[in-house]
Amino acid sequence: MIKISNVRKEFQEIEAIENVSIHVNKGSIYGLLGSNGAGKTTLLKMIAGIYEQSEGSILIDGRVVYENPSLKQEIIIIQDTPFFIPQYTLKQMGKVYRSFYPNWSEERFKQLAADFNLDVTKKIHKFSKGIQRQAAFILALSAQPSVLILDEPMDGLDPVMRKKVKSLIFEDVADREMSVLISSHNLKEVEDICDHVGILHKGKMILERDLDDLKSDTHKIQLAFKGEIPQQLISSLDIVHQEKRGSIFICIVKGLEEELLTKIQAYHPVILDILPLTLEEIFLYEMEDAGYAVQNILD
Amino acid sequence: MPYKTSLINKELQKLIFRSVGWISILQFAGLFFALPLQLMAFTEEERQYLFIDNLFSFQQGVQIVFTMGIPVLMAIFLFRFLQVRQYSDYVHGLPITRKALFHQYTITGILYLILPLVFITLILLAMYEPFQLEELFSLNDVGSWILIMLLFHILFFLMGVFIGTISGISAVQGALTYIGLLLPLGMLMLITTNLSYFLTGFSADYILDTKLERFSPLVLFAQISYIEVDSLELILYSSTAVCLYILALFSYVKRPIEAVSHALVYPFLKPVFKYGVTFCMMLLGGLYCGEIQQMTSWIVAGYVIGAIIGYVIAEMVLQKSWRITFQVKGFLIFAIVMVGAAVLFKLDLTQFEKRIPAYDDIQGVHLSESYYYYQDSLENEMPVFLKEADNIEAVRELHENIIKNRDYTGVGHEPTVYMTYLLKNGEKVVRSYQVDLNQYETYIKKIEESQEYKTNTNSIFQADPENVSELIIDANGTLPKRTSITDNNEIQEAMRALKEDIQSASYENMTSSKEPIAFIELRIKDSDNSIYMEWKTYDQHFKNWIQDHDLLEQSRITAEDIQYAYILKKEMIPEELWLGYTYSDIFKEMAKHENALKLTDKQDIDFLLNNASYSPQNEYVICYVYAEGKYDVKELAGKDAPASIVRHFEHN
Repeated sequence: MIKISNVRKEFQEIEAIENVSIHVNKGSIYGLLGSNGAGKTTLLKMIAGIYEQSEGSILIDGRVVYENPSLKQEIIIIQDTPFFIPQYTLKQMGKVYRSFYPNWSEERFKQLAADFNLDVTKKIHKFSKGIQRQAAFILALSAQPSVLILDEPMDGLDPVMRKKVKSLIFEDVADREMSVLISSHNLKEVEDICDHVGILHKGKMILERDLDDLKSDTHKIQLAFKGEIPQQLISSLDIVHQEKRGSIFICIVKGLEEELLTKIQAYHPVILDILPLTLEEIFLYEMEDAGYAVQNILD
Repeated sequence: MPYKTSLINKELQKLIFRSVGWISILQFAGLFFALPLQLMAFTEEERQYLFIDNLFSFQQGVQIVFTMGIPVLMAIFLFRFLQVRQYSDYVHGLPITRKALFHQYTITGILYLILPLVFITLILLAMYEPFQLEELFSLNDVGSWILIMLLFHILFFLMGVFIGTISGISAVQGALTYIGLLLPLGMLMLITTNLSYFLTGFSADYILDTKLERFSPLVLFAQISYIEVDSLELILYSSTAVCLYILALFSYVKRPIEAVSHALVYPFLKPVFKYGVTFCMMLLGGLYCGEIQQMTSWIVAGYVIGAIIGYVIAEMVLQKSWRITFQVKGFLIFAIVMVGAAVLFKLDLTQFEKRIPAYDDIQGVHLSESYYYYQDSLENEMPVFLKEADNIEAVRELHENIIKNRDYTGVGHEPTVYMTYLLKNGEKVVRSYQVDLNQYETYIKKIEESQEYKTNTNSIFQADPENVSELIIDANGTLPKRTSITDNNEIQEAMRALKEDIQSASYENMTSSKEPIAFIELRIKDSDNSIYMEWKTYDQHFKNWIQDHDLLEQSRITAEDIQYAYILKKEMIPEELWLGYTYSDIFKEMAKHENALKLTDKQDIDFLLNNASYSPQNEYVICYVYAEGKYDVKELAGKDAPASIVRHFEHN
């Protein structure tokens, strides 16, 4: 669906992008992670056809986005600080969207405005920041885009609203196979909705994973043996990270759960537990592996 | 998904109206006040005294300010979305091409500028008969008014739009728009004036001709009520407007959207801007110091200071802060290039300074004190060039000697030598030098005493005596003495006498500062034109003719008119008396002065009448007393004073 190949962007003081490739499938949600200044916003604005890349290609359904209005009719971006035309009410903004996006649903717009309990005749800039963000969601979702790009979308929303917004996004993904790109500097914020995650650091993509695979593929195991840990076992496992706490050996291992268990049980461990593993831990260990200190990359 | 290909997006139109509609209304209000309302307000009596060239004469200040301000304001507010990051990102995320956006915004902007002008024109047309406006101006005037207004509005607006596409800050957009409108003229003036410091003999005045304002539409429009815009300018500006539209479109399509809030969005423009500003300010500094004190040290100091100021200002604009570090390296490179260029100029590779056209190539020569004499002769359709071999040789010799002596006075407003060679191939070689004319008197005398020079420079030789309807002689003095001759035979005789006097005049006489006896006006038949000249003390033929016709008494002041005269040394009178005091004040001052010499002898007075002169170097002041309360004040040079006067003041 969205295919980004070897994209590079450089311009004076904006965050630069170096040789980034991403693939987002139709109907999936892609989380773009990275600290401030990593280049997330620049990349998203290129995907939305606002900036032009210096090199590489950005294709959506095989078509170039930049200066392509018929394609851009299906793409909506909500900027990190949502923008509304000065002095406009939500109703007037709705008219602007309706004139540009042919999929616009007036019905949905009214429904959403009612759901969020927003006064459509009040000037948007008089709303609080959180409400403005809701207004941006209402407009974006009413336009029913096939690609929705969200730059730090959860900032300024309270937990109830976050949940509401997330469920709305899920709904559209499920009903209309909408593809979503979400950027965030906080993994926890997006891990429950993304099915793919990429980590951008200083303009480079340092990690890209399918979250379902990742979770079923990586395990935290707690082991203890009578006597020493059999070296044979250790060398046969794909260990990402290991530590010893007294006689207890804790390791993070890649592989299918079933296979791992059979392998270990062959050495008759005294203790064998599979512990819950958060996504953050996986990244922490993976990136350590790749030679990055995670504190610098995600905050 | 089908892409709706409507050229005009209704919501975008609403948006444009909401953001710039007020500018149209403001413009309409301003022009309504300046024209229709003003016209309604005139009373019958006021109308009698109105002097109208065109429609710009009404409230021209308002019209000029609005025409210069509104279109630029329109460009700034219309393209405000380009200069605010979020707004710019938002608009460029919408499914519409930049081309479509540009056309829609720019054409709508032009429409909003045109509409008020059209409404005002319609109102004027509706008022035309009921208010009897035909007494004030014709319908043609209305036509040319709307045409010029449309052209300049659109031109200023498109300049603002173009600058908007290359700039990322609204304030910079506004400032650069006006600079852009002034730049061609400003650069021309700066470069030519500065060249005259570098190239001895270079005549800046010749380049900076009177039609200069056409190089800046802004300057031209400031003078719109009394300058005629010719069709060449109309074509020039219309095509400039078209070019600006295309350039702006091109620049907008290529604009890096991410460069919002940079003074200039295209990186390659930054050094152009930086060194451009430095260069202009350098020339301006040189010009400023050069006009104050025309000394090389001052001019060089002007260049250095100007360049530094320009460099710092440019850096401040680009870095958007006044707290900048001075980048020595860039400035040094600039300085080295400039010194190199200066050296190249001084080497005079084109031999500009040494060139004197060969005799065989010359068709004619012109010699005068400044370009303005040359220009005057051209305008009055007088012959400009001397073609006699002797004169051509004399001008060449003068030129050779000036170059050889290299002794230029170079002080601001001293008289200069201005010469133009007309070559046989039609080219002109123009030079002007600031020199001490006394040094070159032999050459100048030779030329100015030649009959050709005299015929060329005195209008009387160009006038057909048959065409002179009246010859008027006004005595030089405060007594109302005037002679009018209307008989054509007498006029012809008098003119012949005047011509003979000119032909026999010596250089010394021509250049003396003796007061003329009377002023002569030759009125040309069926026209408002006249030829003005003076009856000089040495004009013997004319004097004889006057005497023969018994007109002397009524044509000049004579000793008989004067009861007595006071004479005093100039320095004995407080200086401020010369400034703005009446003759009777001066008389009172002199009458009570103990050293004043009172002359009553008619012969003495006659001598004074024939020898008074005007010059700041004069030593004596004369006050004639015609009668109680009727005075006249003249001066006398020390060298012309008779011994009796000199003696009187020696003793006191």
